[in-house]
Amino acid sequence: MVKPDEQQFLKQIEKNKGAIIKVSRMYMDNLEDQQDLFQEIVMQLWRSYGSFRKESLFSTWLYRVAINTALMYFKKEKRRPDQQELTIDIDVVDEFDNEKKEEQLRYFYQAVQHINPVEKALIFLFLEGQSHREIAVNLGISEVNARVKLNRTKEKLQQIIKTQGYEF
Amino acid sequence: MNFDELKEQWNNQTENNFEVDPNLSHYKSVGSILVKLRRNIKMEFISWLCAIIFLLVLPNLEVYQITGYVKVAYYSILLQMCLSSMFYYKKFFYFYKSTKQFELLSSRENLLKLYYDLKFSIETYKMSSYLLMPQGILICFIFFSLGHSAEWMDKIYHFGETWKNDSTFIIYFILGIFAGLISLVICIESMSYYYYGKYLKMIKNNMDALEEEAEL
Repeated sequence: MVKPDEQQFLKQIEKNKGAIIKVSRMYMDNLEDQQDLFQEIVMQLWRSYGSFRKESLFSTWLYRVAINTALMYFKKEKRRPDQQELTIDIDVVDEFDNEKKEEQLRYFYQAVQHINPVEKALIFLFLEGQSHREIAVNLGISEVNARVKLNRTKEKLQQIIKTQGYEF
Repeated sequence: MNFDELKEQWNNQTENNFEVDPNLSHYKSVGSILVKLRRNIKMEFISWLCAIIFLLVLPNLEVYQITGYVKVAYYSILLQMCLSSMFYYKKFFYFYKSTKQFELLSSRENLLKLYYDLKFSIETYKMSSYLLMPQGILICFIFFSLGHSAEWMDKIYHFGETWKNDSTFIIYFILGIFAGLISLVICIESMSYYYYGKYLKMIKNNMDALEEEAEL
């Protein structure tokens, strides 16, 4: 029997699961690891559901918990290494068909595997539409630092993608 | 393509292969540093308990012949080791509990808190272990002397005389102490790194990546 609190939580998770999937895809490069991280984030969200204040947005609260969980997560050693060449035959690619628009996203996810966990957090929050100020608050850094780091991370990503012969 | 174009695709991603299990008790943690640390604390405590039980039983094994006042000294040292170990286990227990309590902190605050809590626990662990080294050496001395500890102590007490008559004993004794100290240091350093240090390094790397950067 699902408790009312659980029901409410699951409803919210179902509604916002896209964000958890995105974090999982950014931090892990193969499907199995992504699913593990997805599970870890949902579990951590459930554990900390008590800290969610109803006056704030569920998604805002979710970002913080998801990023903090991802920053404390490590890849299983038996699986493939962290850094790898950008080839199209990795599992990330398997989930997308070969349409042009998804190709861009595929290149992006491959490139993201080559930046550090904090840079991944910055890019994730930026793509989720957060302002420099919101990014700074979530990560606990100054607004200027968030802006500088974000710009550098974007440049870095563009460079990585360009080295693969894709115009970005 | 640029980041603005990417944002559009970002918001329209597929959600295949990711299902939310409605039974929340089915969720298991597999790759969190905190879970790994908690597991290591638990495992190390169990190993410590096993070692203490083994050391408690040891004098009763006939082969070691730990009897009389040597037995009293042995158990006194063991008791002291147990009490001192409690000091760092208390710190680890606090850390263990704190990793289970969730606080909604910013990423930097969260990393800082964990880093300093863990660092303090590791330093206490190392400090206590180094302070326990003389007791460890004494226990090993009693253990390896196979019932000759009183005789060996007497030889050491009359160092000058023994050096003249039985210099090999002194050389072996010094070499034994030296080897014991080196193995204990290696043991303390490698255990603290393997169990806790490598995770501390991971947290530190993320903390460093959040440090202030100068504008160009």
